[in-house]
Amino acid sequence: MKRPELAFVWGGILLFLGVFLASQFLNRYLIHILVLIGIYSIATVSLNLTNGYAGLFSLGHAAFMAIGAYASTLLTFPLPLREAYELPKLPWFLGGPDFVWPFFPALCMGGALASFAALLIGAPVLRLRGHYLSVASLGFVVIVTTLAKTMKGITRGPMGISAIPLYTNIYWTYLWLFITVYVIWRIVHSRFGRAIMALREDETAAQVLGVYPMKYKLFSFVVGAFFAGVAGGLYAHFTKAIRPLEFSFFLTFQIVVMLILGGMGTTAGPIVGVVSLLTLRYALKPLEEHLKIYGMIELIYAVLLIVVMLWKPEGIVGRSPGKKKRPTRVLEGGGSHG
Amino acid sequence: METILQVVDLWKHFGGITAVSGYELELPRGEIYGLIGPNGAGKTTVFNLISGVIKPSKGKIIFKGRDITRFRPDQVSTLGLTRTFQNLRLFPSLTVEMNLKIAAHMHARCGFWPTLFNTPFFFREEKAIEERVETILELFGMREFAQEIASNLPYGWQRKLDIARALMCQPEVLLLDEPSAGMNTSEAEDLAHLIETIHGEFRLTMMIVEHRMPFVMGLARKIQVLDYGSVIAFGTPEEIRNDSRVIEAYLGVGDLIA
Repeated sequence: MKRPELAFVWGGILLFLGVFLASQFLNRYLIHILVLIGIYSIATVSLNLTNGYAGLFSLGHAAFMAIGAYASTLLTFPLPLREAYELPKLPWFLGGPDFVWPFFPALCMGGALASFAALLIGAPVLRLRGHYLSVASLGFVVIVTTLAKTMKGITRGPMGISAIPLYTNIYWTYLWLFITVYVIWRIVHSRFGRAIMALREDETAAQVLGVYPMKYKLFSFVVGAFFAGVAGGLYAHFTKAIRPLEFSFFLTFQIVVMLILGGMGTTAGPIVGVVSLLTLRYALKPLEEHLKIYGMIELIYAVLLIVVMLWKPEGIVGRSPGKKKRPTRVLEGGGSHG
Repeated sequence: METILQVVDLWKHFGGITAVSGYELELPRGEIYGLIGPNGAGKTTVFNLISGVIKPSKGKIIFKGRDITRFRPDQVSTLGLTRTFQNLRLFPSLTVEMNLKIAAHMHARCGFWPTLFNTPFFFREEKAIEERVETILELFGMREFAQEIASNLPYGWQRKLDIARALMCQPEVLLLDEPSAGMNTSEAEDLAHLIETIHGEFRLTMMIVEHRMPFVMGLARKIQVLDYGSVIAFGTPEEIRNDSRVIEAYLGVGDLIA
């Protein structure tokens, strides 16, 4: 029990030392990639709570990111520009007409609103199982992006919002990644995480042993959505412009591929998935541009996904259940049915 | 003696089929009762109804003086009544230890924030759960399997793990649904001893659905025989063995032979 905690402290120190060194010595392009890796990691690690540990295969993550992105953008949008962008009359929970929130609380509010949306959408949708849930959560992405396109008074419609102040840097990103990993890790190693995993394994058995399924499904959904919202906010304040289109199914697909490739239901899996896929993307980018085969990278993602599904469905980090820590001795006295 | 679990006129219809028709039970605290009957007699349905997994069409279930007829399974088990399953429902890809720890859920009180910040309260509670896991593993002779993935265990051990897990809930009433299914005779004898031990140790009240007659006859003080969803005979193992209705239900009416 003691050791993993200590590992976290050391890991945190090393991480920030690494981030500091990176910010000192790397060029802007590489830092740009590192920040993206951080943001995608937050999204993937939080998706892992629902899709990996809870076994609820949600495809709604992009929608939560959109909510977080729009909320934190509007909360921090500079006053002088609001008139010009026709965003003067914001409701109070989005900062009101004349108050600009600082970055950190704005991100938290974005996460909280995403959580709230998760609560609303989760109550009906989480009653569904398996691919029914996936399809329904995908519907949620469509709802959110459609709303973002049509609620012009708040979102400026399909053209999106630009001139968002650049607040996200490598420190903010990795601070939030650290928080995300810590929170998910704490949850997984507590009765909450055990209840969530029990639901994934066998809902009826879990319920007979005292776990109320809806409560813990919603819990994982809401916590996952919070960090998705934060990731969305970081993303908005990094790219400085957001459009509804960016938060469509394609974003969900990327995050899901990263998670599956890395290994669902593992601590390191999602980050390994993000790092390997984004590294691959930026390594191949010059080639793609040189060959002028645009979309080649997406094609490679898709092929990789198929290959992994066929050969190592538990992902890069995941261990298949049969291989984990078997005692070498023969199990005696168990009977002939084993 | 105090009746801990009482079932009054319980009915369950599945579409046009009546699975349970007017089932009655008065289970005194501390006793082991058996529930037997031919295939399809509705034994498992009765368990499903009592544990809240399915809701009855009609009737009343009273546990410790409270009407639990409409309770969810997690509410029923939190009150102190839990069960095992005929077709094992372990958490297959988790370790034995995790399987047991999950079942301590209802007794854990640590909230979200103390969990997040790893407060002493969280630490103590986890420690207490771990100690209980140790005790149960010891009792079941499964200590060496603690880190084994549940689905990798030999079948007989999986059966035992199912019971061990139910005990982690610290129930007052435990319903065992065919605990010896798929075991050979010596394993079943082993299990019978184990059940006797835990019955004494935890002062449990138990109800056992079984197909293996010597098993249930040896354990249960009284036995109910279920046929077509209602109790056709009730009595001590001796009485049941000699009851003509029971023999009929199991072997059919002897028209051809006679």
